[in-house]
Amino acid sequence: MNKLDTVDHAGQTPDVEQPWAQLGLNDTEYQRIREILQRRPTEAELAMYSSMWSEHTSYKSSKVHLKQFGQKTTEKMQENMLVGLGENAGVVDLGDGWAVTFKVESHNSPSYLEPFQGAATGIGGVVRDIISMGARPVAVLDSLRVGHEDHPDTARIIKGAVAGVGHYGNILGVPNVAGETAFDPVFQGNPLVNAGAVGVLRHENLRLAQATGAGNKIVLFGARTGGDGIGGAAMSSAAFDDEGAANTPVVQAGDPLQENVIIEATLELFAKSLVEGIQDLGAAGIACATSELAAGGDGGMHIELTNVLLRDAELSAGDILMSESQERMMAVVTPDNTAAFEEIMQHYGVEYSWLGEVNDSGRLTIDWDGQRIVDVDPVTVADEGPVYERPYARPASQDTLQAATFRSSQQAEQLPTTGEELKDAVIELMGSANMADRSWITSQTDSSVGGNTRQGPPNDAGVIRVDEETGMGIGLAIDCNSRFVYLDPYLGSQLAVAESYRNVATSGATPMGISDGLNFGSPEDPGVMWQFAEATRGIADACQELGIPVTGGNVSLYNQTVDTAIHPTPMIVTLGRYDDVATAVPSWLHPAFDGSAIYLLGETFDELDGSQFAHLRGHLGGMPPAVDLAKEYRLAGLLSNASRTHMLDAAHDLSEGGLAGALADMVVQGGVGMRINLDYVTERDNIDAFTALFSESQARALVAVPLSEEVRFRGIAESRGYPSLRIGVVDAGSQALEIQDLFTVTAEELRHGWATALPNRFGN
Amino acid sequence: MSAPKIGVVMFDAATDAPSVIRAVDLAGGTPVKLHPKTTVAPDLADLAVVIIPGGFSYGDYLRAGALAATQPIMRLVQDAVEAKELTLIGLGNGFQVLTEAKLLPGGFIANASPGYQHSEVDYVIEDNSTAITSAYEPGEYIRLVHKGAYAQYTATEDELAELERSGNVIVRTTVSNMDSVNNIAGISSDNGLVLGLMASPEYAIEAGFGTDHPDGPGFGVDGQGLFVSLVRAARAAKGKGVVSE
Repeated sequence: MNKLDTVDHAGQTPDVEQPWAQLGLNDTEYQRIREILQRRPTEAELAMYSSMWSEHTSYKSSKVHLKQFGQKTTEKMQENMLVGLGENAGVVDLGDGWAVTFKVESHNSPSYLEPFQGAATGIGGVVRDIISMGARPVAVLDSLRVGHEDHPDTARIIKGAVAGVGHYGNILGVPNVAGETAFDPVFQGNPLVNAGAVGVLRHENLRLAQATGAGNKIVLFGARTGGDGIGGAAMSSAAFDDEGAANTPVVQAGDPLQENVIIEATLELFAKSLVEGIQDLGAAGIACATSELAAGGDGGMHIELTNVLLRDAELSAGDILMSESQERMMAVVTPDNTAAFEEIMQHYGVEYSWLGEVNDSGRLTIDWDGQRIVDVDPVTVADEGPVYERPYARPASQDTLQAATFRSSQQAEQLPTTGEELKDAVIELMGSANMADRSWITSQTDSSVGGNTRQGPPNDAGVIRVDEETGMGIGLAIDCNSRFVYLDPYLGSQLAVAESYRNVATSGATPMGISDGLNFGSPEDPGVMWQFAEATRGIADACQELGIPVTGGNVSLYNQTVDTAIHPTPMIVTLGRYDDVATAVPSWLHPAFDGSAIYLLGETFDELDGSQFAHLRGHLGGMPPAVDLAKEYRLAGLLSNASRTHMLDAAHDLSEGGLAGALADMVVQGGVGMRINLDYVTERDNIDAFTALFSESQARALVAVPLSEEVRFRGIAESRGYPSLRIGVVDAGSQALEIQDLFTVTAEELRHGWATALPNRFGN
Repeated sequence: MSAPKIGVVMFDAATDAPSVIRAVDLAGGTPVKLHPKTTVAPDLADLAVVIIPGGFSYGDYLRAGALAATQPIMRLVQDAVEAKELTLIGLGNGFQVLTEAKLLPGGFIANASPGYQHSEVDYVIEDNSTAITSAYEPGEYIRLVHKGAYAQYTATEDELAELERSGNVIVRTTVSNMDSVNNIAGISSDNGLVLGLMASPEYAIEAGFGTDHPDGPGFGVDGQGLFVSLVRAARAAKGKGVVSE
């Protein structure tokens, strides 16, 4: 900024051309800013409004649809919610004075441009959201969608993203206990990197993003402000054009060491009750934090921007307001506590500067060197951004897509039927990139740090102890089958909720709530907007039926290159609770489970559309498997009851790859064999062996029941009226999956492709 | 029996410190946190054993363990080793701090397959006469968490020959996938007071939260012996002029 564009100056020069279009605003939005201010905005104000009104920050296209998450939450569902939608992250009561907060956030466009830093700062950002609530982060998770496994650019993305997630989380010392990765060409130019974090807190330490109490001081602490990430929120709110990768400077760099120290310092501030309100700095930096804190509190705040500690002295006022430098926090401190606050910062070696104070003016005013450059009503910046009711319409092509079932396709003309063919199909399935061993990914993150990990990968859900005295703890899983959502956004989103919920229940926890990461294409495309509307409706309805609330979430739109949109991907994190994590159930067979009986819970229908098998044959069409949430609810009740009363050795949910995928996974993970008889399934459900193995019917799970518990287990399955079949037995000595009268595949034969699929492509 | 105090150095981002503290506690010791900037010798007055826990001290920026090795506390503990026979133990990244501080020979380089790796590894106890191995049998196999990006131990030919000749290699990996020279995982100084182990025994101390075991997943608690050994060493040291409790 050559000449400082002050409020006075803006008032005197109404006709100055302003770069609103480059900042991502449209003409109507710019005119509305002028109306609100009754003058043209200053450069700093324009920067502020443009980043706060961006899609990424304001949710302007998604808001009207997200409303139903709150509207469809019944009183009963709210019972355990301490803090609901709208805060940095929702908070759920765990009992005994404990609470848990969790959230998932997208870092998609930065991760395409710079996978390592994009993914690393994704973890950093979501962890800061958690500490802003007064919680200690106890787990992180990640969900990745990348292009075709053999496309030359996929290695760049996945290697960088996995290393970045690991680098940041490992140095924070927060275990990574859950996640998933899928490969599909639709994500080639728009990979998805969603990072989640979970924190626990005592009720009394809960803090919100509110600046209240005139005279209270505003302090910025943590890293210095630099030129990184300027315009990030705007970038994340636009589709990539053909030369999308030219935007590199807007990707921020992370410093996990700094954040590690900030976590400890911030938790001490909470423990000593030294902060009244707190907010982390993420998208749109200081502009966002000051306006949200002010809007959430008494409404008035004054800031002296020259007090901000800088990494680069050349930054303009607008740059400082918009910078997305990482590892920064803003807090509200009473004058009485400033000395104690400073003492803690000095003890931890964290830099801080006092920026201003809360007042009752109703205005957010920002000065630069004594001259006023911002004078706005913070509510107009933070909460009253544009809201669009974007047109949406079911694309005509949807009918064609849904009519093109797998069974009617060319690919279905030759299906495996003989034992040998079925065996080959199972080996092929397990060696495919989407089903193969995830160790290449999970070994790059620390799953045990903290010492409270009861279960990490490769289990269906991560399990963390919260209370060392009682063993009380949490389970969490993240899931979404994007193909199902593409085939039918309403049903597919319900299936994503069902799978995530089922995974948590399969591991023995009682599901408590979900957080969603909604990743879609451009909201300006009515077809994409229809997907979004259907997906949000599906999630809200599913949660209502299952009786668990949506506690928070994140929306990422414009995941689109030119006119190619990604498959709609609402990633669902489900959080569950254990009275004692000692009752958690692993999802693979350990040699200690030798002799246990294998039961298949649920029924199998001819449901191959959108399945992993169809994907392997290059087919995508038809309708996703039928949704039956009442059945999912009953299955979850059965599973958590059986595990709580020690009836289960192992349990695996049936999802991608169906029964074949679950059986083979249970065997190959630990090299422990099973003898299975499929006849019971094919006869009861009136299907052939191929369908029994590869159909992806829902509300199913496999459980291993010790012989001593079989009578009790049959008893509860029968009394609950849940379909249950004893299909086989664990045979540790055999080290093979034997499907009687069809084929035997050894763990070694499975391992050959399964263990090498990722390392062979992406290195050791 | 009284619970002897065990010092734990709290370097920034020493991410394993909370688990080391829990392990000391469960083994019957009383953990005492030591601030890395401390320059006051009395902080160590009633300590016979100090642990440098693993993790990513100072983010492993520059080089694993390098920045930690220059912190004021390192001067203090080094003096205490010489003056009053303090036993100094480095686990994981703590071992890297000890080689960076030249308190143990050799050093660490990037894994043969680059990047951070987290896995479970079987180790074998070579020497059970040390302050961290006395609760094990010679030749005993133990399974612990192994992690790090620069976890490959290396040394000059002379250093290596000397380590082997003097019997200062106290623990080895049973597989060579870590690519450490001679499968070295743990070493001792000549006087037995400075000990390093490239492993994370603090994640194998509680059944259900440990390493893999024939009894079930996570039931392995082979790391307990290490903490029992060092608490025992701290207790024994009382007779040698160290005031405790």
